[in-house]
Amino acid sequence: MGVVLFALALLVAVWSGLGLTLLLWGRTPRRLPGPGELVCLSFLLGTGNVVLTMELAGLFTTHVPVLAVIECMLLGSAGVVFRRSTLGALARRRPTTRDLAWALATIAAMTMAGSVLLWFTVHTSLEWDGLTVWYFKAELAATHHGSIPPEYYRGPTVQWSAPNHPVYLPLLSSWIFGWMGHTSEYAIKLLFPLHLLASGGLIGSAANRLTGRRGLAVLAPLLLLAAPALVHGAGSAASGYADVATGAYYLMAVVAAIEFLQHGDVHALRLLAASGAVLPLVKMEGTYLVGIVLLVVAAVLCIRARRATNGWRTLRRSIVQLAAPVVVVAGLWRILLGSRHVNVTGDLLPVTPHNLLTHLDRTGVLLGRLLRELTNWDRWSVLWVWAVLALVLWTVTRAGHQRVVLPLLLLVPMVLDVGVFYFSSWRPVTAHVDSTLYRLLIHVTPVAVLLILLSFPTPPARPRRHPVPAVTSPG
Amino acid sequence: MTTTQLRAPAHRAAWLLWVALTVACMGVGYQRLAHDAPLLPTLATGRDATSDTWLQVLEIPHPSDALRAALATIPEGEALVFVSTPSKSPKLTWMVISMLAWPHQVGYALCDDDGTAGHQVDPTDHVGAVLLYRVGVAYSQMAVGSTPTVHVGDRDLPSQGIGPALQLITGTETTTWASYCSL
Repeated sequence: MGVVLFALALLVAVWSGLGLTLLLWGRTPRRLPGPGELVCLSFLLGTGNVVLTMELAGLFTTHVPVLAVIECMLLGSAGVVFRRSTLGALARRRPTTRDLAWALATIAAMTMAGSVLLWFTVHTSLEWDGLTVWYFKAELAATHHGSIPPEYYRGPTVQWSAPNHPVYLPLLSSWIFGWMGHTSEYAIKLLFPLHLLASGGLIGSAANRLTGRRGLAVLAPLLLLAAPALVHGAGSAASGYADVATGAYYLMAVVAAIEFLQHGDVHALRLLAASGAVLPLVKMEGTYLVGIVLLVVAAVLCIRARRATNGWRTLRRSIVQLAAPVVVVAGLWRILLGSRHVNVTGDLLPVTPHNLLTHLDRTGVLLGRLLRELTNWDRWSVLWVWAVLALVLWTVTRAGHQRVVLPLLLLVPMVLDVGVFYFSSWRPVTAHVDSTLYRLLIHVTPVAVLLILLSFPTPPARPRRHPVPAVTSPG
Repeated sequence: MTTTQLRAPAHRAAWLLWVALTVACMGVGYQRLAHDAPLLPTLATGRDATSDTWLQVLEIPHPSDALRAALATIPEGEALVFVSTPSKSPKLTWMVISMLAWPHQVGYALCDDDGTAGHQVDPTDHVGAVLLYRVGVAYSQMAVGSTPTVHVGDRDLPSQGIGPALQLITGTETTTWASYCSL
């Protein structure tokens, strides 16, 4: 029965995500969403919607779960009713046998990845932070009408549970516990790998769409699975940490940014804004990750605006649309923490030029640790070496803004991931780096896999025995 | 996407390299997973799967349930203090017990081997009980389920063994604990 209720809780969240995705997609989109893409976006936007609703409702009422259920049902229904033409167009698609074969291959790859993830998930316990930082808050929310009680933030003896960490995983877990009728450290582990599968689905659909090669969609989940750091151990999909979920939302933002910059699609702009609204609630690093995407997008738009008439007006409108949700959510979260007198910096010293200059002597150690991490085969296989080669190939074979956008969205977070240790208050700092750096890399791993797949060269053309007449019409 | 084609030999080399890296990446990664899988420790299952796994150090079956039952007698609004020594690596045990004891505050006191107080996290609520983890005079003589009394101030307080490693000493509303390291 617990499994059924668990699934029902997820289905209600995904229903709201489906409605939200369809509404964000718009009435007359340039393209329809792919089925896999729609499922992955519905999961990510649906769970994000549940968390945002619960967090906001928790400020005003104790009937949080009931309100969240009503909101989810209404949002899902609104999307399906108002965008029934989009759903109808999706249903009218007639896939060819070749389409079906590739779809089956992709499903088989996802199933294999899901099975391995599930096996590791049920055979490992929640890791340290998974229990003490994330699950503890989930249990508190589940037993206090869906919101974390204010006395938790005041408690002097629970500061080890990082009260300054955001609430995506705790509130989402408490949502599921609410449906199940009890908390469970065992059952909740099933939730976390879904974020990695969603990443696999998004990478696959983006690679398929941007290159027209469906084999890449089959490879996507298999490559994510080849990085053991994503599968088991602290920070992985099985650990109960927020790193894999952060990676999924960051990937969603990056894919939306690429599509927006390439085609100017409004739906991509909205998806980017939506992922930006959720990221600050998933993990503290989410705020700077979404900030990086916004800065890169804004920079490209600025360059374009100089060349176009009305360019600045378009730029202003786009940036306001992008930044408003992020500023509102991140700002509200900061105000909330401030009102509860929570120390927001945690293990870090204040970010000041003085602290940076004082710790510049850490540069050698930090770069050494980064290099050692990127070549740690036990954790990453050869993924990062491959990503470096992909960066080189990408910059050689791409032109225009594409040459720099995706590399920047991979490299800048990595630079900040290392740079943040200039402000670490740990002594020695290497202890902090060794326990944290690899988890920060998990945030950008899906983007690295996307870059690898997008830069995958097409197979060399086979020499033909007989000359083939040129095709003059589409037939 | 806008792309610039590599020359044919470079393109072929790049494609071969990518195919080789695909095989290498999956080969190395999957081999690591296959290596790690049999080494995973035996897990508790059920509602308290992780807590029970981490509290295996208490050497009792279903430690989470046992702790909840024992702590249910502590009056509302009273805090506890978890006392141990640095050599017992007790921090994780303290955190898990803090979670199980919520809404009671659970302070933390480490006593050095010479009986002096070291690191300490003090609760703001009145301390109504103390949990001794592998420390104390009574602990060394404690049998499972026994209830030895502990002399605190001018009183003898009742205590309860929660397994062989953990001892709960229950105070009263007026109990003051001069030192957690001399219990």
